Amino acid sequence: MRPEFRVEMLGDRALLVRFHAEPSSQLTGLLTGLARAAMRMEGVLDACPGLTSVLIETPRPDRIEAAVPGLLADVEPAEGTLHRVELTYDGEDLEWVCDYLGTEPDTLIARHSAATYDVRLLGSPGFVYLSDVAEDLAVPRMDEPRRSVAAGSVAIGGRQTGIYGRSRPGGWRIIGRAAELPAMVPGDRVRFAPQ
Amino acid sequence: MIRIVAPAIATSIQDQGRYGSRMQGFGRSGAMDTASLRAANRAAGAAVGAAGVEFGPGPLVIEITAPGGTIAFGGAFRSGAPWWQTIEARAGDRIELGSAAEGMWSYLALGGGVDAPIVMGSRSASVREGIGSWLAPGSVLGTGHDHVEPQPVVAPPMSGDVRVYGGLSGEFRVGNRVDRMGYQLEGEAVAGGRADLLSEPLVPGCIQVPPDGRPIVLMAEGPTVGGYTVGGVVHSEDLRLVGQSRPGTIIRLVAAGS
Repeated sequence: MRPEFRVEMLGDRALLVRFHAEPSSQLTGLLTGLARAAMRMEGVLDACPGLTSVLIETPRPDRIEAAVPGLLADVEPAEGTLHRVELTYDGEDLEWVCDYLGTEPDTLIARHSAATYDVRLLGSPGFVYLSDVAEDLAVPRMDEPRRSVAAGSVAIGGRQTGIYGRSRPGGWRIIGRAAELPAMVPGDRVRFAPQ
Repeated sequence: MIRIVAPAIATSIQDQGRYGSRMQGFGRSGAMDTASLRAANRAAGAAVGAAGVEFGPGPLVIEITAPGGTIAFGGAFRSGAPWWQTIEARAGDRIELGSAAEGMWSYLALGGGVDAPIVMGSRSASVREGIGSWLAPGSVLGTGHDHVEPQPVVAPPMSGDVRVYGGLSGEFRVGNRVDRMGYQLEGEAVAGGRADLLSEPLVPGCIQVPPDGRPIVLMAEGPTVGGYTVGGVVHSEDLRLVGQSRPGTIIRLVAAGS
């Protein structure tokens, strides 16, 4: 069953296909597949998935809106690549996170690196939004974001985990640092290998 | 060839923007006033989609280092050179532009366009994303190959009502936080702003309303994803009018017709 959706105009040159569904691996596969299919259409300038939506940029949003149901009927959920990211769990907030969760660093590292995460979406500049951590690993974001978080930082914010691909401001709790990052696109998956 | 002797604030190479790389996490970037860059390109003798030099409100000094070719200036008006007109560039010429009295962004176009590496389909710099850099004293601009015959141009209007889809309207004052990422608006606080929504894609022109009620119009290098309330979207042709509004200016947002 495909989740229900509605199309919202985002101004005169973009539309957002919003799905009535919770973020999930299946949904990310569907959204990424739809965005790729849209990109192949004439008159589409750009497309990308959000957590529960797909953005399509086009000078003719009315024409593309009419084509969305047809695109969706044929869309193949995207098959992503599994990336192994070597991660040194020595982030500046690791101790704070362990204190907050009442756990030991070894336990946190074991649990965080045991999961496979979906790449849900990419934000500019260079932020990789991954799927959720286990509910009991959720930590609140910082009240005041850091002015600059180093590139390669891996962090938890609420239940989400993410990677700072480039140096930028941010308020998620940094638990580790990756020396090298592969190029990732939505629909890919990530396993962290503790170093 | 042109050498930047003294750049203005935020001087960079821009074209009509980068499309097709959102999936990889790269935004549009491109000129803050795309229509002014297109007109300057026509006057200089470059294809409308060619790259030019965008510069912020302060003075700018350049030197022509090789003979031949045409150039043109456009966008926010400065003293020191003919505006919106084809200029014959002669080696050794030095052009000193004053500060913009009104408006924010001006453009230098070269016959054939400004040469720069094409990254994901565009020559636009996007420094935060690691593409290109701000131009510095001594930066040298090469000429591209997008030559067309220079044409007389009509200057696009630099102010006017800003059409907005989806709600937000009325008069706002442009705040002090203005740059290529976004313009903060001040006025009566806009109610209903939330910061805890699911992260969904955004485009330049989206008006984010954070919980403090002070809207931010996202510009060329704005975030591509956000979890704040979107209070409306500026008409694509009018986003440049926001971009050309200086801090303290009153702008009027009006409902866009359907």
